[in-house]
Amino acid sequence: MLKKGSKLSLVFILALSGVLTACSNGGQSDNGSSANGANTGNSNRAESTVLDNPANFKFDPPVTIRTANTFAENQNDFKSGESFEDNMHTRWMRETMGIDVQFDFVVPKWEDYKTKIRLLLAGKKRLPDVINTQTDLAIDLINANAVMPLNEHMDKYLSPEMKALYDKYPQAFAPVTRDGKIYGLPEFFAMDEGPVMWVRADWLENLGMKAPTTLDEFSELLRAFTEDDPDRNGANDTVGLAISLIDGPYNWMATGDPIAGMFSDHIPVGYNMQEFWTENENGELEFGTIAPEQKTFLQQMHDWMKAGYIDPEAGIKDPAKAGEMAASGKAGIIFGPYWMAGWPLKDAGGFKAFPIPAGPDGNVGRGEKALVANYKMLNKDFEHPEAYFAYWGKIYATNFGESDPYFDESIAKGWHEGYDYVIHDGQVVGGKYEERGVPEEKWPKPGDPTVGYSVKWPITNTPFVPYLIDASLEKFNNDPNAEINNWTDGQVASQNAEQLDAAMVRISQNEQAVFNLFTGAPTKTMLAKQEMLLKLMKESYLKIIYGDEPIEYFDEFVDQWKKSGGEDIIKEVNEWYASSKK
Amino acid sequence: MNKLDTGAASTSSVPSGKKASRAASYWKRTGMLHVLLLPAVIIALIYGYTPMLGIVIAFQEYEPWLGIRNSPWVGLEHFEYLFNYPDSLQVIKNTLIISGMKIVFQLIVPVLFALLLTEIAKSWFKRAAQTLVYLPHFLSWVILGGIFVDILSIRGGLLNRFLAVLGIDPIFFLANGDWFRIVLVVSDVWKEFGFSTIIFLAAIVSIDPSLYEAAEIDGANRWKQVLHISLPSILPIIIVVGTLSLGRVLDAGFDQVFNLYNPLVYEKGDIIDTFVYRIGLLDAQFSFATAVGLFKSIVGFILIVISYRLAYKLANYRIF
Repeated sequence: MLKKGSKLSLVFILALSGVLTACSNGGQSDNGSSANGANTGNSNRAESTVLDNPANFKFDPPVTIRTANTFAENQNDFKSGESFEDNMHTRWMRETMGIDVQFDFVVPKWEDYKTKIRLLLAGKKRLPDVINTQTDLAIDLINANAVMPLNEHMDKYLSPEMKALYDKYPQAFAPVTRDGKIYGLPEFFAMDEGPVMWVRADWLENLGMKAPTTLDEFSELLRAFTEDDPDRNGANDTVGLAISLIDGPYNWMATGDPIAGMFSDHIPVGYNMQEFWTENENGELEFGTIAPEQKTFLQQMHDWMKAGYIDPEAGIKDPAKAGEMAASGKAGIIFGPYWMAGWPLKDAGGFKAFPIPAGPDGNVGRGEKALVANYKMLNKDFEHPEAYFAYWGKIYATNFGESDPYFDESIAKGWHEGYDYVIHDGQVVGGKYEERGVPEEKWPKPGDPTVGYSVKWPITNTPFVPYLIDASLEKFNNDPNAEINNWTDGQVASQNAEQLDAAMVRISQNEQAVFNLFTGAPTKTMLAKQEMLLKLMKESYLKIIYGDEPIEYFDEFVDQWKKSGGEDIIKEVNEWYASSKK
Repeated sequence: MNKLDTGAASTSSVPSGKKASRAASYWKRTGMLHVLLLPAVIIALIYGYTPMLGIVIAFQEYEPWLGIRNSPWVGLEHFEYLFNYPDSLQVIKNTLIISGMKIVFQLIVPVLFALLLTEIAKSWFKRAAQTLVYLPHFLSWVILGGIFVDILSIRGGLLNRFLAVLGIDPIFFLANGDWFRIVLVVSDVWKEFGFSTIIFLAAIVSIDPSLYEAAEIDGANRWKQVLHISLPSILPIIIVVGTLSLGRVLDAGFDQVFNLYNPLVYEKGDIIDTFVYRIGLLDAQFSFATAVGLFKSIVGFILIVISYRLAYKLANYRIF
């Protein structure tokens, strides 16, 4: 009996030990963080660490920031032995600033990230200190009372330059403000993604044609690219336009909004209900997808599709696939951002950027990307918000220069020597290492002069300031060997001539950009009905373009869209718009 | 005699003390075995049954920050919504059609293949063929999806080139709802039939060879042998496999559809699982998604009970 009993208890001990280790692990990490808190918990000291010496602060003892992020590694993202969790930048943060970044999890896709955070929230588990959010998740976190209001910290720690930047775009805060309290720090896009028209210049030459500036010329060029064997290979294997329609006509690449823009001031969007709202003549916000002018746009697309000028598989291709098609030499025109000359159109024949042609009434328009990429929120139990703000101030200060108190001379022209730039003949070189005569042993990756290692931001986005990049683009377009004065310069310096040329085309049409005017939080009906309405739109648009339904079906679609919740969304959006104008 | 009598009647009229000691001796004999079983039971309880409590959110307006305990109850609202949702009926119909076709062909093809394979004398060929048709089962639909999009491409896809040789106009398989369903069924059968074949092969192998010998003596040719011996002998297995697959009739294959579909074929290709994915996960309507899932489980449960009865009746097959 005794023997049996001891056997039994052995079983239990084995079974329990797993549980116990788990517990003690949990206990330890809790102890760890509270010990940290005790060491630096004296908030006055931490505060003065930053405020007394913003340019060269260092936390001693080091503070820990726990975060979670999305990251999918590509080739040549890191030097060998480095990773997203441990690289030059994270070491630099630890060594020069005393900030130790720890990752609760890193997942490749945004959807997975969102699900994980929601699960932590539902399970009442501890969230990361710094949480990356977009508006829908941000609302969940605010509702759950899981994040801290930032007003006080913003007042105390943001530099005057940063405050001025935020004052310039007050609408960016609307989705994350509740009762006057701001819960999220907006991170901006560079606002350099507006599409240009990429055309095979060599095909133009073969056919003796010019780049189109009007709808008629555009239409004629589509025909010629499809029917007149522009690549002179004797086979009927080309089409005019490569475009992605699987998620609607508005995409980050291979997009159709410049075509819609010829007929309408309203941009039809497929993937996100919060875009694209524009003002109509009554001063109300109107949803681009159901604007009456889309009918003309769809009619035109249908005519082209029927004539075979558009890639027949556009309806099942995502932007990357459509880009591949253009890159493979089977399509002559594609709309997309200026950087496409780097990918996917690099080495893809003679693609050259041209301005977007004008529609029948001289209308030119392109959909501009949202201003805000995402919001960073801080866990309400985060003990060192000052460390986050200090780091934030430091990396953004590189945009603002010496007047910013956080400005750190050592990262003024690039982040890490030997990674994203090298010093050659006393000059900062941020790319094209071979052309600039940098000896191979100094290249970030000896053997491949095209590789540079940009920073993979652990707890922030790339610190973009909207539109700042345009000045750098112009500078380097005028003089490829211009001096690098800040990190934006460094980034632009590595771009190829075709990209810079395309950027100039894009800048020349900045006036034509159409902006989304709804910057509030997603409304109640939006959250509940979004997928159904998007599906209805994608399906109806494609049916009309492919000719499965006549053009009159558009009215039926609009009716159905309004009945299925669209009407409520229009009302909610306009209520927000009215209140935001006050 | 007396002694024997007590023993025989023990089940009905033993004094309770004796019953207890019997129970004690039972536990003494099997106690350790029960302890060995315990971890499995605990794991099943924790991972199999406890999560089922989450079903309650189908009757709530669940919000992650409120949790199950504090989310408001809404009764059957989500189920009403499901049946009033404009797409619901179409989606259920699609699921039944696609899944029904899959079940039928997933039964016919493996049986035929197994019968044909047993007729082949060369054992190396048999083994090689079996392995080859079995392989696609291990490929993921993410990869196959990309491959099929290329093969079925209207611009220079393998299949359309072949059709062009035969003088047939190119067909846009992935953009036409009817063709899309056929693509789903054919590709699913291609991927999985090798796996199902194994069961039928095993059944054929276990047929008593003397039956064939007797048939041969009676002058039956191969065809007659297949018709009158092989097929009837494996019929119970066919019925069992067929009826049991009925229970999965609402699973039309999420991975496959998700990797192949597009707005052009939503109308005929959207199934319950892809629908739930879009509504439930992308829109974070957890309660609604759970309600749909629960609906699916209930239908699946009813069908499993029915098919189990059928299997018992038709093939005298019992699991329990």
